Amino acid sequence: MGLLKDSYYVTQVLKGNVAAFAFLVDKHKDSIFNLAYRITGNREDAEEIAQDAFLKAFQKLDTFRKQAKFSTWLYRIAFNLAISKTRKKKTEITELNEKHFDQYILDDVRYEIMESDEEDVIKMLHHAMDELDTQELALTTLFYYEGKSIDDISEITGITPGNVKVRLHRTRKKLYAILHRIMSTQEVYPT
Amino acid sequence: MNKTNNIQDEFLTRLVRKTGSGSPSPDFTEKVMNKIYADKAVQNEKQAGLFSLGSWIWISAAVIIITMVLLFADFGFINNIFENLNSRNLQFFNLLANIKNTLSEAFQTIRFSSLSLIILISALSLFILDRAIRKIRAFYFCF
Repeated sequence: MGLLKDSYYVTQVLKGNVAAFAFLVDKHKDSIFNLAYRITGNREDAEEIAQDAFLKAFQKLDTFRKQAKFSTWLYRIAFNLAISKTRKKKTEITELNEKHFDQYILDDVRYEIMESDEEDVIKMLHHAMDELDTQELALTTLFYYEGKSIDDISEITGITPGNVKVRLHRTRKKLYAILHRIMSTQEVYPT
Repeated sequence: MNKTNNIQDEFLTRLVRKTGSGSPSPDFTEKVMNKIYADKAVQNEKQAGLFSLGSWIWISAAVIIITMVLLFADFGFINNIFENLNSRNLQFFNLLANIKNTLSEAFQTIRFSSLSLIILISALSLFILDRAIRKIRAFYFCF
């Protein structure tokens, strides 16, 4: 039997069937853990945040508006927990020189990535993402990894849709710029 | 070019998705549900009374009966014990006898009807019993 809609399980839990919440945990645990892991960069912290997010969601389930998407509401709880538990990350690259980042560099970076070994690319991307701040990491994860819409991201993060787009645009450029620097300087990172 | 076009990037999407962070621990759901059940038990404990109404009626009746026995039963033998001890001239028991006399005198000056006294003692006993049980339960739930 396939999984039913979230709203069905939410209703069941609200009726007193606590065990129904396990279906919601099973369905969303990977995404919530992933978001927390991206923001904290630590598996143990991510696991703790994800567990706390589900517990908080259960405790506040009666305040959940059924017109809203359960997953978006859950992401918002996890996002806030992760942000509040994460110390401000140091960013080596804070300024992006947009003059030097044009389509040529973008295509160049893409070409180099395609030519590189996949394992190296993943390693480089991990290190590039380490240089993003928590908000940029969250936006990248939600948009590129989870495929969330701008409106959903706006609801999760509390940033206006316009600002989400602007920040995603900057983050995308920043990621390519960092990858370009890593590849051009042949920086070597331990696994 | 609008901002949405500036962020749509299939190449980057594929790239980011390659850096999957894995899954939480295999018993993640179990851990969460255990936390939830523990939380629910604590919430239920807070909401529910310590005893049901029936239990409280039985406890109240028992306290009232004990109080009445204590008030109306003949405890003259206690006085006899004190008198016997007094005659033995033991200093410690003399002290106890003095305390007993002082208390008796103090209570003689207070005039309560028996019924008021029963109600007062019963209510006080129930209050103390309630506090004691709460403390014991709180201690028990710490572990």
